[in-house]
Amino acid sequence: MTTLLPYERYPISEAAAQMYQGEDPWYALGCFEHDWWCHADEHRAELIAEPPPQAHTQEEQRWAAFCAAVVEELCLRTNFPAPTWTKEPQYVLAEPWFYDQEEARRARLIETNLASFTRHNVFFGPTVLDNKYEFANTYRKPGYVPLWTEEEMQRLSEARPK
Amino acid sequence: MDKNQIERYLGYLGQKLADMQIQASVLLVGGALMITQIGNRKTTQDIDVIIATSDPHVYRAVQQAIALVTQEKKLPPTWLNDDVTIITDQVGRPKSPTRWKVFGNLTVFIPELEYMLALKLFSGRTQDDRDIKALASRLGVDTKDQAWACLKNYVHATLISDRIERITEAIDRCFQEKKKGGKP
Repeated sequence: MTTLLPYERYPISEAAAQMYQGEDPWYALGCFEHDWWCHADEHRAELIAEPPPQAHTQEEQRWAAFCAAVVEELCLRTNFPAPTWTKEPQYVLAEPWFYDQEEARRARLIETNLASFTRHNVFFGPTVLDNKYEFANTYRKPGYVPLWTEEEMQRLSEARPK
Repeated sequence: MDKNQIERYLGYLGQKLADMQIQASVLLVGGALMITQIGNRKTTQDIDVIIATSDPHVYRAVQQAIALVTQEKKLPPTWLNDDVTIITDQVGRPKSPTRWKVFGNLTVFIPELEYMLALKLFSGRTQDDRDIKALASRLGVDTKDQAWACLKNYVHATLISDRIERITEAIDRCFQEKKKGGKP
């Protein structure tokens, strides 16, 4: 694979593989999301072309379904065609998977869950894919706005190291 | 990036700023702050900073230095970025940042951890739960009331009301109603 980027892209298949291996799932998801929104947004088709590796355990099946839901949701948000593999039955869990194990909050989780995730029987709530790139579209990154005055900067520079 | 890489890359930037004869300061937030100050996780995709300057020329020079380090060290394009300014511009700034380390001509400040907790609560993201819990544990913030108090100390009520459901759910997930135990 040729790339103009100085680092290897992080497709969803790699994110899933890392999750299977017990890697911090939020780190793995974050790497993929950074590529999707920023580092490799011109290569989105490549990032989602390959499905998650074959899942052998319940934990792996859950993360595979999670990754399929992520791909569907991001495609929806960016008006990008979702790959057909996300519709395959192995990416729909037989039993619902709730991120929040607290029974009392499950009804709320079901109510507020992203539809793309609900289709896969994965319940992580509405904020699971919140990110600073979309936040920027809502609020707009300010131009140069100093947070500190000259006097405050002077005081900061005189502060002792921690 | 792990802790060592974060410090090494900040060192590159400090050296580049020295080459350019620019003195600059940044405020470290986000995952890099959690890794270097709390140690509850090992890696982050990028280093989130706020460029602490009141001089637009310095701001541009820092951006230029970042771009040069990116190119020379073949780092990912946003290895160090100030995108988080979008959020801090809404929320406000820390009340008492302290100097953490100096890397060449780059001074790195860290905010008080209460500020970081308020930012994480404001975002209300599922994936921030572990950071919220780690920060709260360090700060002795145990209850929902304490969490709300921390948030309100930094974030204006209007902004909170815009995201009230997300914030409430995050606090519900991460905090208990009342303090456990207590004096017999």
